Parts: sequence; C-alpha cells; structure tokens
Amino acid sequence: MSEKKPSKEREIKGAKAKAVFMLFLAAIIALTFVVYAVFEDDLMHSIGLIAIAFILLVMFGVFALRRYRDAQRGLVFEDERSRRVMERAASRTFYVSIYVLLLVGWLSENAIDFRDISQATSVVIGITALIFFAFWLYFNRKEI
Amino acid sequence: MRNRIKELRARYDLTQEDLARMVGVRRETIVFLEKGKYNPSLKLAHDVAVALRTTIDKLFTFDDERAFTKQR
Repeated sequence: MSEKKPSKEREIKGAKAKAVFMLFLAAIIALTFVVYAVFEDDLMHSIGLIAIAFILLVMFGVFALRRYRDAQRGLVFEDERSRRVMERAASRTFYVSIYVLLLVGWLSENAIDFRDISQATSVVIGITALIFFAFWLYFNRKEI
Repeated sequence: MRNRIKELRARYDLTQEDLARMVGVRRETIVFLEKGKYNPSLKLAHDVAVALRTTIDKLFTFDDERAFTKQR
C-alpha cells in the first residue's frame, strides 16, 4: 500500500519544481535571444540582444532562487497579497497595452520604419512586459 | 486600520517568518499587515488571530469604527 505524503511536503516539492521550471524557461528565452544575436548582421543589435538575454537570465535566476530558498524554509511563494498585486498589475497593464498597440501602430505608419510586422509585435510585447513590471513594483509597495 | 500583531508576536516570541509559516503567507505580507498597509481577507485575519491566540476584533481596530456604532 502506498503511503500518502503530507500536503505541506507536496506543496514544498511543487514550489521547488516550479522554481526549476522557471529557470529552465528563462534559459530557453535567453537562448532564443542569443540565437537571434548570432544571426544578426548589425553588431550593435547583436550586443543589445545578448544584453537582453543576460538581464533576463539574471532576473529570472534571482526570482527562481528566491522561490527555491523560500520553499526550502517552508515558506509559500504565493499568497493572497501577492496574487492581489499580480491581478491589479495585470488588469492595469491590459488597459495600457491597448494604447501601446495603438501608439506603435501609429508610429509604424508615421515615424518608425519597422522591418516587418513581427518586429512591431515584438516591440509591443517588450513594452507591455516592462509596463507590467512597473505596475507590479508600484502595487507591491502600495497599500492594497 | 490599526492592529496589535507586532505586540502579540513579541509577546509570544515569534518572528515575522514564524508567523508567516504558521498562517501560510509570505513574510512580506506579515510586514505589510503590521504596518497596516494591507487589508487581509477574513480568512487570513482569522488565521492570524488564532495564531496569536486572540480574536479578530481584539487584533484589528478601525479608525472610523465609532462612525458605524449606533448612538445610545
């Protein structure tokens, strides 16, 4: 007969697995940037892409490490407050991203010559990610 | 909103991390709770009160409490 593990232990194991998965995902994203950098003709663009990959890897690395360490100490990584912060940041980002999309659309017609639609889409995704991060920082410090 | 979390935590010799572990939240949540910068759910308020061997109404007090009290 198999013995059922206590829920707390399962929770910690799950949190550790999530931290490792997060690091793995960050590594894949960073690797994608590096591959793009290798095939990029412009040296400055290549350096920029590698810098983005490095920053992403460090940020996700610190995040995953904290998550792993908290799990080892028996602390949860997500709770009602962190979920509330995420929800607020996500909802605000959604509204702002619509305007970002409109702005990038207007800029692509009038000011910036994007290489193709995928480049413009990447710019929108990048800006949206930064906006989300800014909102997350703001709500994480604010009274909620 | 004011609360007595810090006072009771000190009385029972608990660290913020101990209390966080007891009620299943992040340590930061306890920090914000103590500062009165986070309005917890009823469930969390209850869990914190139980962990600190008190009741919700003794743990949390609202500045505008008297405004809702019927004048006798």
